[in-house]
Amino acid sequence: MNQPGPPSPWSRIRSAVARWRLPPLALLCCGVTLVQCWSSGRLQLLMAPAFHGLVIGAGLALLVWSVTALVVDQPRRSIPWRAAVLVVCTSLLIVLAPPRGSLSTLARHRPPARLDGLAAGFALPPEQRDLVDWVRLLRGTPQPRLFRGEPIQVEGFVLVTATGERHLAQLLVRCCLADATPVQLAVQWPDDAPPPQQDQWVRVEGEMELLNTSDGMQPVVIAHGVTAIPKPRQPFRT
Amino acid sequence: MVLDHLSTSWSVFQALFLEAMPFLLIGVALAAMARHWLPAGPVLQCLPDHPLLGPLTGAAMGFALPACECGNVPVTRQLLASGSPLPTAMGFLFAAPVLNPIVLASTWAAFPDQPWLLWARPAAGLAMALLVATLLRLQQDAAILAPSLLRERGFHQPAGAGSLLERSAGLIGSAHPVPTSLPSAGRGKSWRLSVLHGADELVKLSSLLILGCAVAALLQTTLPRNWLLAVGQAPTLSVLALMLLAVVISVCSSVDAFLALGFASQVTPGALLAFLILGPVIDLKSLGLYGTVFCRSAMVFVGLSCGVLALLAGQWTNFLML
Repeated sequence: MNQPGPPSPWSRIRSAVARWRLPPLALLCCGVTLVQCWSSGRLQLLMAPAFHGLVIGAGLALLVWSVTALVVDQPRRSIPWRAAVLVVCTSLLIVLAPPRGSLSTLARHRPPARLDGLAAGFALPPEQRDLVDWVRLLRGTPQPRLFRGEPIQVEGFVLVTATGERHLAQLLVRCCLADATPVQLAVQWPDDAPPPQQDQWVRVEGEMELLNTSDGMQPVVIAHGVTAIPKPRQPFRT
Repeated sequence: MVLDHLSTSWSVFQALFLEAMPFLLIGVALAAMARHWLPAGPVLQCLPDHPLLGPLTGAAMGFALPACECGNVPVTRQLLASGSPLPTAMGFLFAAPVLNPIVLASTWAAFPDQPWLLWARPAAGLAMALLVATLLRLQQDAAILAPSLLRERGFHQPAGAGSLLERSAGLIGSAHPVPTSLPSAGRGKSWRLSVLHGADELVKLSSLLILGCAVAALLQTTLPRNWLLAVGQAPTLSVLALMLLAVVISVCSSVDAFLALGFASQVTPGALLAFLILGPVIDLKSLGLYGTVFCRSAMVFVGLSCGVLALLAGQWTNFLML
């Protein structure tokens, strides 16, 4: 009779992986990642608050499921170990490499946001209107010259357009970054200082003006003062 | 510049993955519960196999499951594995992402001023599900289902139900070794097995979701969306462009109406409808998940069928409204 030979190194590795209970461990990693993304505030960078609860709930459910599976796990002939390795690696990468994408790059690939349904800023004094209020006002009026000379104080990040101009922008997000669309205002930056870098968050104080641009007469913010501000915890509007 | 694109893609990837994962979890959990409590075979086999009643029943079942396409795929797979008739399962798979209360409510919330969309979206989605399910019903199970699913399904088919090819191939009524993770004796009885099998399935599907999100995120930060919308007012091109956008952007069907709101004024009504009925069914993110249900040729067939039907729906809408 043929005696079975010693197990190959490959089968030894596979059985070791099986003993490590890789699929439940992968789910545990995934659950920890979801909870960590919430506790570290990272969800605020990635999606609208309405979806945070779903992610937290899913993270906790994954923790319960994976711990239960770890407890009741038993030797099995086959496990989806390739899939489990991919899930573990992705979970670790998400924890180790937080999102540091360029909002400007993202915005350049998106059409302008439509602002229906957002609260209008008609009743607000000019200094209290934010960027979205201003863009909504300017888009909604047939006579933007009515706003010439009004004082303006808005915050946003610096968006470098495809033509190289530096606009002040904010992103509007309904669900997550995948559907982000930009709201932007052209800015004439002060001559006495270098224009801010792409993606830099700034507060711009100045006045609204109509200038002749390559797209015809357009509303432009004449900046008198530019102050760098820290990136907000949630860097988009919902 | 390349690093800039990569790091932006990584952010979009994280957003897509973290947002889709809860829906996938809901779907797999429902599938695991169905496996544990639903007696496989007799009850599910009582569901209609009729080309019209089957998909309608599947769509009605989908109305009760407020999950997007990521959650529907594992449930559909479990339905098929447990012996559910193909038309019912396909009706569920293709109609549920459009015909569920959350999607309908979000469409209403996004387009209160366009009442035609409130009935056109579910009607077109249902019509698409009926037609695709009918086309798939014309094929043998062995020609469209993934081999692993076919094997699981074989355990719950009566010996006379399969084709001659399936019987002679030993897929039905044979002494196939039962998968170790799913012993038939323990099916529906051991919660431990349900927990373990569900964990394995969730890991497998998560890995496919990761690949889908990665492709979608890369394309999103590479393809300029303005380029797609530049053809917005050309009747046919706008429909095609929005169909491509729906496939690439891979956003959850429960919120895609808000996204569509962003460019509704720049495209034709038909393009808007095509975006809203194709995206929930076919997108890059869920492409890998479909691989657990369909074989490759069937995936191509499903993709093309849905694409052609969305195009026709868009064209017809443009014809009526422009």
